[in-house]
Amino acid sequence: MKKYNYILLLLFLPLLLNAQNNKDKKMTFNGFVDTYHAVRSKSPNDFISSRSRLRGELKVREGNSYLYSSFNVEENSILEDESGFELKEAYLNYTSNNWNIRAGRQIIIWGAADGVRITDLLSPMDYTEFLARDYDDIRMPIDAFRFRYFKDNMKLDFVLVPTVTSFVIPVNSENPWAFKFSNLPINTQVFTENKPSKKIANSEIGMRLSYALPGIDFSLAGLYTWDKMPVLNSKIVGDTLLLNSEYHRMTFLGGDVSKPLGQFVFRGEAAVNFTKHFLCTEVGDGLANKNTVNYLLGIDWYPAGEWTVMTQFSCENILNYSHKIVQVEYKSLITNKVSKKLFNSSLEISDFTYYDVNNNAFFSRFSSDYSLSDQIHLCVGYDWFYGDKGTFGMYKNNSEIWFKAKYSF
Amino acid sequence: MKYFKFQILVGVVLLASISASAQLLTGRDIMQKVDNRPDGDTRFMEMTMKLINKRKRVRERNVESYSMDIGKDKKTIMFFLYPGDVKGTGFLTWDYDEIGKDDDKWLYLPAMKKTRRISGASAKADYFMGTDFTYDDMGSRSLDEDIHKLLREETIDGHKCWVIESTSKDSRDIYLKKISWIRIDCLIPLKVEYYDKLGKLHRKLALSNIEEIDGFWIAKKLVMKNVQTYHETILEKINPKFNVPVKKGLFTVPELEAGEF
Repeated sequence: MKKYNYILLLLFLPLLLNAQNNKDKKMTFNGFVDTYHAVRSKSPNDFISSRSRLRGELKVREGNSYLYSSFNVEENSILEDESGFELKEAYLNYTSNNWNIRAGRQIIIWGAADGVRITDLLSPMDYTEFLARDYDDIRMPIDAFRFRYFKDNMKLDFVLVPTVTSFVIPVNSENPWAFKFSNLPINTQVFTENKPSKKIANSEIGMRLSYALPGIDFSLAGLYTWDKMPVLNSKIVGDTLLLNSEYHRMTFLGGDVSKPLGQFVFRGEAAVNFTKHFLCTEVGDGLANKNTVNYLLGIDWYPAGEWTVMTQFSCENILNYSHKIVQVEYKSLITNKVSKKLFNSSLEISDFTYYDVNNNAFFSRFSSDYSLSDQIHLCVGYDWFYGDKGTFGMYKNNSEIWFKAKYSF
Repeated sequence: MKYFKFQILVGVVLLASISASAQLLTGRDIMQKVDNRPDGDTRFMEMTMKLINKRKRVRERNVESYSMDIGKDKKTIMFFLYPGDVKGTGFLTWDYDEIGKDDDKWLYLPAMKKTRRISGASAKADYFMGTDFTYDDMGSRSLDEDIHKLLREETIDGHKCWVIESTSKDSRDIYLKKISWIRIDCLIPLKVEYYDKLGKLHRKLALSNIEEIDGFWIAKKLVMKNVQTYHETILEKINPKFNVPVKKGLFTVPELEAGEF
């Protein structure tokens, strides 16, 4: 009931605010309604996603200040726990001549990579439906305070995140996208509630300096953070393997660069992660604590005719590698995006593929997006999982045909 | 009578000299005058673009933009206001006059909370947000990217015009040549015809609602028709302002990421 009160409040907030509008106050209320349904292309051809939602985005500006809030109200037929109200973002923003503060629930994106996290380690990922959602739905908000100083083509961000938000990893077996441990020859139990406690000592703090200059963009960043993707520590109790998700402190230093050259834009991003933890092969060996170098090289090609081609290669290299570690020394991923707009941009056909080099497995999301009117988009697509190993192999039975309709207002 | 004859003689000489000076102007000279036409150091406008396909289905795009001249270069920042799914999308361009120097361009995508550096070279030939205008049509094209030739003078709707043929030097351009009818009095084209690589008529641009605002001439309505696909775009400039005060640092990525003015 409390949730419904929030919904009513947010739905009527624009009217309440409008009632007390004055000439300096500007209020906008935008958003969309979308409905998404996906059916497995393999037997038993069941629905593995079926949801509809209202997204509201409220912005109230007065002078140099504004508040912004976005929320979802969702009805999910497959994952009933996902139904209900979700406050996506809610922050206040103040801008002076050359500085700005933003405080509250917000999404912070760093780096030049697409769909791959190298320095972009602030906002975690929600894998409730793995990657089979729009990328902006997968990124999670964090409760943070951001101070920005900017001058000409430079900006300097300080970020403080008092309470840590970690990845959402589905483990409930009723979720078709649950992480599976079924290939283990032993009973398995997973514990996921071992998150960092909400105390000041567990805060994250970071800084990013970036420049956008004629012919080149670059940035340098550092963050005292957590590895928000849990590491599963294992032990055997009786005839059961207990997998306990653990979160560990981590620091990174890194940067990114974008350089346009003719029809191409070359992108690079790299970070050194200090004290990252990895699972060991032998049960009871605990975790290995290593430094890693993560890097990405990307090339975007903008040939004429409304084509876009974007290819990236990324790698995580574990330094001072030990063969006790489950993860390989060099873990590589290739991504490729191809898109083409047709009929005066009323139809866009695109494909985004992640290829797991080490496991010869991929996830490819093909989509076709038709603009029926200024408000309505109709989309159909196919998510193809291929392989036997790795994360994509885990979902090889989840290849799906999907349909989405979206009304924006 | 003698005085009257003298007056006629002076008149004839004056007319001849004016005609001779016009004859001396080359196509490039005229396009240089067009390029130099005063339009203020800064400007602000809202634009509505109606996209109409051959079945007369109408889509709409609304944007607002500031631009500023820096020497011969131009910086522009633009935000989409409508439709809802692209609202807040920002586009920042540093447009260089120097031939061979690619423009700098950034795109801000509010849903992704991200600014993307995009190519400044290839987008010129692409259409702007599904309209019949290319990015190049929307920006400022360097004078010497085309070879200009004065074809003739013509009168359209009572306005004397120079007819200029401009042939592109850049093979990446979507047109081979364009022919412009430029009003002599205010140096604004009344119409432009674009020919494709095969020399066939591709697009026709008609400019109207030509007014003088704050001492600067502007065409407030532009209709671009693709005669091969029968798609057309009606672009209207609403509330244009010239020499508006512009805050320092407006044409930068931090301002782009604000998502609005």
